[in-house]
Amino acid sequence: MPNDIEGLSETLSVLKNVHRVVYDQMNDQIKDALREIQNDAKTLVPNSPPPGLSRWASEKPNTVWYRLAFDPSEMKSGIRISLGRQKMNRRNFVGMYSILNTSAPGMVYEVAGSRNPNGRPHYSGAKRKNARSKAYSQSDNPNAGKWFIDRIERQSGIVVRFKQGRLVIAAGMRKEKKTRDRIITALENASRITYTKLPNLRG
Amino acid sequence: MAVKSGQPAIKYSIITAFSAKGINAAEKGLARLRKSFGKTTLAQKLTFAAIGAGVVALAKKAADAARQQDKLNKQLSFTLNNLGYKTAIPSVNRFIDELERQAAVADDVLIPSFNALVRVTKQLTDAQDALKLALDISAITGDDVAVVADALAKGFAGNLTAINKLVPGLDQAAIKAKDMQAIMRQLNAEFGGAAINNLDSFAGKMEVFKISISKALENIGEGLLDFLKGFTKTNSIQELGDAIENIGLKIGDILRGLPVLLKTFFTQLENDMKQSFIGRFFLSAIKKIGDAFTTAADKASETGRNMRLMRGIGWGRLFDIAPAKKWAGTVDPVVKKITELQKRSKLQELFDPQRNQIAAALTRNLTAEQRALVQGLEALRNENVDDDEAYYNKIIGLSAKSALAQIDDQKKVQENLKTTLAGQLADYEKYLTDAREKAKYASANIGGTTVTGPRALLENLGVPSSGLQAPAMGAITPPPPPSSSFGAIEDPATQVRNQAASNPAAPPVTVNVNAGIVGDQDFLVRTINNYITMATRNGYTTVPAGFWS
Repeated sequence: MPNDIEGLSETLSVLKNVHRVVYDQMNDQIKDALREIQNDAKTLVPNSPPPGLSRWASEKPNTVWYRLAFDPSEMKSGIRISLGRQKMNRRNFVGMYSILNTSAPGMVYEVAGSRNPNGRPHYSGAKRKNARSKAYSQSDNPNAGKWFIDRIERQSGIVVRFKQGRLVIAAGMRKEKKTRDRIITALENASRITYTKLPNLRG
Repeated sequence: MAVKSGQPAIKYSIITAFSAKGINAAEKGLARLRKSFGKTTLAQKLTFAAIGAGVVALAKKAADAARQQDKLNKQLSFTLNNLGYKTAIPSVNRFIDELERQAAVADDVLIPSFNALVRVTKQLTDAQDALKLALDISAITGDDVAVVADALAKGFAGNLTAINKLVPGLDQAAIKAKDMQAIMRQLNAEFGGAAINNLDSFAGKMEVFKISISKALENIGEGLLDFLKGFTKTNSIQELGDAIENIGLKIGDILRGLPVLLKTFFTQLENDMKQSFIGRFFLSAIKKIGDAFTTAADKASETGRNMRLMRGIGWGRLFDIAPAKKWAGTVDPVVKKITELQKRSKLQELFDPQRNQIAAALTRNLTAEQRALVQGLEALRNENVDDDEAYYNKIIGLSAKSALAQIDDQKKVQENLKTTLAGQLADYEKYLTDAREKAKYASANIGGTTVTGPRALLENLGVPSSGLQAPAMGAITPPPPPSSSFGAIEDPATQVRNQAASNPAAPPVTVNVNAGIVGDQDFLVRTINNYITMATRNGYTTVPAGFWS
């Protein structure tokens, strides 16, 4: 992993146990660094649904799609920073300092078109009867998926493929290096302060 | 804000860290397995059994090779004896040995082949030539030497079918005529020298090496057999094989019981050394040396560990350098231990009733002496002796001080009493004077005559003018409450009337009170009565002589 720091978990546990004040100050600095990406990602959230998708914002309550309705405030509030350990991936790496997009419409807006640029295939075109599963489009309109993705791409100006994104991932990729440097600086300072204040533990 | 576990989210991690959780779990499991494997005797058994089995297998293989060689030699000797070549046995053996090295074919193949050939040809030279030819044919065709030699032997016996099948292209006329010599010439012309040429290749050299190994094994086996013969005093090879297996088992048993042997040896040695003075002396010296070695090893390991950690940490950049893990591993247990101890001591305090009682007592409002006593009890619980003495001195001093304070308090009480009494007397005199002044304005109608002054007051009160006498305790009725209405004092008049009723000779008394001084008079009456009561109770006489005059 390119962003991996060896021994980070052990260092954090030492800082936390030995000098809690310094640890908290360090976390504040890291939060400030991550907040830049968070604010940047929030600016990428549009205040209105894409032109041609106005009904996305008018889903009625107690319906199936209400959970995914376009809501800018929910999308913005769903963009959060995380200083905790995330779930371990297949390669035994965990995210320590992350930006999260947790709202359902935000996630849809973030990655729409990443897997299927033209929308999920229509089950009628796939010649499969009663195949209303996640692998196929849920709409009766065969072009609905493509229309949806095109509208979003036009509004955001970002074409998403594979691991790319429009909100959190885009903002993170823009400011990754700067934020990473700030986080490492905070870690170094906290480590240095803790180390100098505990000379008896050096040996 | 933290995201709940399991909540779906798209994340972009700026910093990631390697989590050794899974790897550590796997390593821990393996270490545990290794530890348990090391603890069980099964591991020792398996190890020693493997060693023993290896030794036994090697010895058995060597002995088998030697036994097989002996068997072949005996077969060949038997054949040569029957053919009358008893004296040629050593030369035949030397021939086979050389042929084995030259052609890189084992003698357990050559000897049966030569045996078969010499039985058919009845001539040593023919058999030797045929065997060499068989080796050459085998080198070219790739067939087994034994098969080719068997085919040649059959050919010498008049059956040429096998050799015809093995080597196509032979002269059919010679085969039909069963002319083995012609066939031998043709075969020599076609295959002669092939076996020697084949040895120049790598495979051929490897074959030579294998032969050398096999010969070495046979030699070892022969030596082992001779060695075992010397042990077992038997000439039977079968018994020798059994003896080898028994020796392998014995070696395994010895290795298996080696710890017991060493432990028994050292225990016995220690017991024996304890028996004598010199032995005990040496034993103590050995123990001291051992302790010194242990201490030195501990010290050296600690120093080495410190050096290792100091070398690795540097200026404190903990992460992205490997020793940070070690440093963290050193600090973490210490912090955990301290935290545990703190928690434990706190918990122990909860279950210390005496300490709780002392703490509860100290929270109350105590005198200095009581507080010092409680604190002295707390000091007794400590191991520090100095504070015990300090609290002892403090308590003794406070006790003496409190005794003096009590005496002072008593004196103060007495002084206060004196002051109070003096004040009361002064008040009494003052009020009496005041009463005398105010009594001038009292008036009473006694027997139709209006009387004013103290006499009138006393008349109103029903007190004889000759002077007040000290009434008995409790005989004095409390003064009546002041009248709420204006201008009427009933009680003194009632008293006068009652007095008149009790004395019929006396004229009826009519009291006319000046309205202007009614309040003062009433107050005066009550005041006098009160002070008369108080003075009587305190042992004073009543009005001083001449007061009313």
